[in-house]
Amino acid sequence: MSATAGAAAEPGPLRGIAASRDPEATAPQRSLCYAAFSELTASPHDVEAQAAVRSRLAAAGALLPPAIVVLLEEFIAADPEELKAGYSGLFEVGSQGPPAPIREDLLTGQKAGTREDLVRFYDFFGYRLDERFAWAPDHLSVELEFMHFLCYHEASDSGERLSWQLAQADFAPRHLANWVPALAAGVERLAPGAFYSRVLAALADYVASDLAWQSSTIIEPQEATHG
Amino acid sequence: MQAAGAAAALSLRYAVAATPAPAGPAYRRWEDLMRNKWTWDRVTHGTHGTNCAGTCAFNVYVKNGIVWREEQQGMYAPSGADVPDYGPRGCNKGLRHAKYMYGPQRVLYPMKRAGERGSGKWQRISWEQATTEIADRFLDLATSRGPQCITYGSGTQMSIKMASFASLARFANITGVTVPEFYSGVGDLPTGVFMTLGAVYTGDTLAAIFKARCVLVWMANPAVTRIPDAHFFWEARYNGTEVIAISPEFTPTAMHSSLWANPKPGTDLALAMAFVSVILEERLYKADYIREQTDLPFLVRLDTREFLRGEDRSLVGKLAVRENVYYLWDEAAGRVVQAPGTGLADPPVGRDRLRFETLDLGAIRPALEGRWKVDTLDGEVECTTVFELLKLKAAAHTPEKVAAITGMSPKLIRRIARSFASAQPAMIYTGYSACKWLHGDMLQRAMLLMLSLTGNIGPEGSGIQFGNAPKGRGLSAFAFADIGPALRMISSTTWDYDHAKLKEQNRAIYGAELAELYDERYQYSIREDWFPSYSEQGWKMAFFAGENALNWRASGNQWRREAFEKLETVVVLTPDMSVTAHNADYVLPIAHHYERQDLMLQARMPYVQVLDEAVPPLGEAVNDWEANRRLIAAIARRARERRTPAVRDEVDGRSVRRDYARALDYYTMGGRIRSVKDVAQYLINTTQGLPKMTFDELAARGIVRVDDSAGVMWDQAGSPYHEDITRSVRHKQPYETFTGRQQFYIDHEWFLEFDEQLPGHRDPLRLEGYPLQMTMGHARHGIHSMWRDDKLLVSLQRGEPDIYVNPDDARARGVADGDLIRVFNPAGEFIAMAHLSAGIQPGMLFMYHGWDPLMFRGGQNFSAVIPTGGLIKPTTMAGDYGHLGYRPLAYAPNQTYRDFTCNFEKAAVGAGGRA
Repeated sequence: MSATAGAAAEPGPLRGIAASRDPEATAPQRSLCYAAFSELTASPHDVEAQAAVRSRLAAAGALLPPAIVVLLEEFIAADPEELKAGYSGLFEVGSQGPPAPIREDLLTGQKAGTREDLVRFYDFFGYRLDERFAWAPDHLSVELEFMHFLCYHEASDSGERLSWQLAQADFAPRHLANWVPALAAGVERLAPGAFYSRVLAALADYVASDLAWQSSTIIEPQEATHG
Repeated sequence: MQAAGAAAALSLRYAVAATPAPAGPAYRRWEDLMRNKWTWDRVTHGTHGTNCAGTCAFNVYVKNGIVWREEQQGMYAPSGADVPDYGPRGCNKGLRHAKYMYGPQRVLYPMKRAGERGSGKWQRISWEQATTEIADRFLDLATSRGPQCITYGSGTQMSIKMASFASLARFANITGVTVPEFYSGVGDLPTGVFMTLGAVYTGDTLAAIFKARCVLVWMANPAVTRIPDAHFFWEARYNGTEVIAISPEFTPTAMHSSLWANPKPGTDLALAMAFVSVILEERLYKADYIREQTDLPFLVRLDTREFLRGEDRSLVGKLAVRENVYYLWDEAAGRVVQAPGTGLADPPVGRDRLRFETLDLGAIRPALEGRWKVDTLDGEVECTTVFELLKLKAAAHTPEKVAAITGMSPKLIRRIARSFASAQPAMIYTGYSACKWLHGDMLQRAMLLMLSLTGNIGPEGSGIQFGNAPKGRGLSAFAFADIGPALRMISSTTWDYDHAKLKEQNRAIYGAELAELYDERYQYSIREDWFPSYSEQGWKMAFFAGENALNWRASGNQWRREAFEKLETVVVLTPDMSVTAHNADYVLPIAHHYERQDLMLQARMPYVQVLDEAVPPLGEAVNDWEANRRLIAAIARRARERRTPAVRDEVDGRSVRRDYARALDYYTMGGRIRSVKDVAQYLINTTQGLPKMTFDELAARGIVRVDDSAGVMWDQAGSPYHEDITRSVRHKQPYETFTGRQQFYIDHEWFLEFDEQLPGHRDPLRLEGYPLQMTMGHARHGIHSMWRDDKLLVSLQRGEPDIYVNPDDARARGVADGDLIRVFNPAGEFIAMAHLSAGIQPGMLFMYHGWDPLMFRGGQNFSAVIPTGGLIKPTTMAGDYGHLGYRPLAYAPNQTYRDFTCNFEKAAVGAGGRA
């Protein structure tokens, strides 16, 4: 159907999801992975995550990839003060800004639109930040929690599942995949082999592979239909 | 199944858990995100509480707890129907703040250094840990050496905000720390104005510019530094006013002026005296005005060159203080008469009597010219007038004589002098650069001579425009409430001299003779108690709040090496990282402009401006009141835990009991002051001239007109600002000077010894072998170091610190535009990009200031080559002379920044861009 002059344009052809995605099986596990990464990348000064990770491992460790489990186990075994020192020295404090900013807006040079895009995603899906954290919608841990939130609803909201799935497919490349590799590379340069370097490397791998997997489950509209 | 259940759980740490899942239409593509109209959660009023002193009203737009943008509020009315209004106000810096406040430079958490000072290694710590450790250090020192060895320096980022500064004042009053004030420390104190008028806060609103018929914009660059106000100059020009820019370099202000005059750097005093000589020679002066308002008709003994005083004669009024009685030659009576309004006790003791006295001459007609034999207790003495002595001084400064000094043609000098003298009213708009020369005091005295001779101190559209400041009643009421005054304030100029071995640098740079002479007078002044010194216990610990001391100190390297680096504990309270924070032991995060409640009064326009908390402070930042509350709470808690007894302290001869265990009770006035909003309300209630309202009302309106502000001048006692000039010119009450007049002749023995009883040209100091005089000025793209590192603003410049160089000077050194150059002299060196400009005279360098050392290759900025920190001019430490003697924020020696020379060469830049 073609639009007629003066009338509102019809929306273009829509994307779909392949049946092979099997959201009941994949979304809970992915939700769990993103939650775990959110906890691993949270500031130990702001979020008491070790106890939560401990119970998560006990309850659902079997669902997590071994590479993540290793990191979670190391995380819960770590000295909290050492975790804080390692984290803040890399991500939070520095003489000319933190050595490895853990906020997308800072890492990508405060480009216009980065935070607005995030806030519009969050608003659209009813993900409203607590006042304490509202100023940092671009914090890595927040973005990962949002992915966890999207995956959770993909699993639980069968009625509007496509919305949650397509949001992940857009959010990941527009944000996580856009800066996590650079952050991981930066941290590896600053603290090669350190805990948070390994966390970021694992996260970069996970984001990339998850994005590739997501893409494989998206049915793009046929090019011809645009014509 | 257990695992699946756990996996399915929603675990949110950042989001509000109760928020329902998707509202609104289904999501199909990212464009769907953009379909909803962007709406604001709230719009608050605010400004940027920094020392451009613009206090521009902004609306601040908030959504989801983030400030996204700001916009000029622009609701200002004029000061009368015949002048333009004050709006809209704002500039490039303010309009970047919504971005800047989220930038990488932001300090978000308390930090403690985790390596050597300056290593850049930090760890985030809790407020509790930070304040406890700092409090312990404070108590160790306060109880062993006394609190005077601890300083609390506040820069304008803190002190220009009223509630913040009041919080600091109360903190310092309770704890007894020394407060090295920065007004003289940054070389901004118009000491020459105080010497002459007995006041420094003499400025009007900037709408007064429109009333002037001739404005000399002298040592100022308002097109760059006063962006919201510069329109008054250009509107005045359209209205027929002649705007004459006087500056060695071709400035953006000169570009828009009627005429640009470019004296050689440091020769302005000669030029001003040449203007005076033309005014006198061509009899362009207003004789009746100067007879009444000035000391120019006062008699001076030719044998001693001192004023003829009551102590020289036997007959004085019974209430008079004999040494304060001055005499005139009355042409009407043909005899010596006591000058009306003289004979009072020195201010401030005599201040109350001023209002009962008058400058009104009645039937007396004081002679300006002549010589007379006068009977004195020493016998007959020949006397003349100050006016006659001024003519002699001016005769040494004719345009022809100063042409070689200034590089300006006599014809141009005469032309400007005549334009200035014939315009009524005429004004001198001058910046703080005048205070930054060693003899800036005499330059200001000469400027005031130009104004006074032509009757241009007092009328609307006249005067010397430096600025004004709120009367301090509200601030002192808050600082001293319940506990009385026990504040230890000092000029940071003298504090630095004591602690940074600046005499040694004087000797190394300027020679032993100058070093010894200046030091002898300095020590004498301290010994005689003309100026205070709290240095006997050393300098052990420092708080720097809202100031970037390592960025701007004159004798920067010397100060850093000999004073700063020897401090045992350095605490910096700041919203943004800086070189000072970089070298601190603790950095405490402070709320930025849109994250706090406060208010600002700046006299350039007649409104009080609110700062409202658009969003909570980012991270763990807090406002200044709260930061000091946390510090003082920790001091009190630790004092109780350590069972620290009260300390007996002494401030300026007064005995003070410091009970640190009760410090928090004092700070909060027994719990009555619970937040910075309460502080702001206290100040609204107690500050003269502020309309009485609640803070919430002020916050809702943003700006509110202050009382008694109908005209362009501050000329009514009910206004918030000082009105000393109109009090004397219109109401004829004596000035708060020794003579009770605009005092151009100072017969203090040091002034006589240095031949400074009247102003006269002095060559600026130069360093032999270094041919280039370097000057600086405030920048368009930053306010001091704030916003100087903003990415966009830097991109509008050269991308890194640059320095303006004359093309001939550059060519002689093989330097091309854009090359990196090494600027050097015996004090140090720094690297910057050469910015070739024909607007710079040969033999000079010019640099916009504020660039933080961290932005320079090699980590050194301009302060490395400025060796002037110890150049404390003896006459600016004179005392025991009527109004002269230490007055906080009014009379103190400036730390000067101009009397040096340097050289440059093309920099050899190695790997990593380091020279």
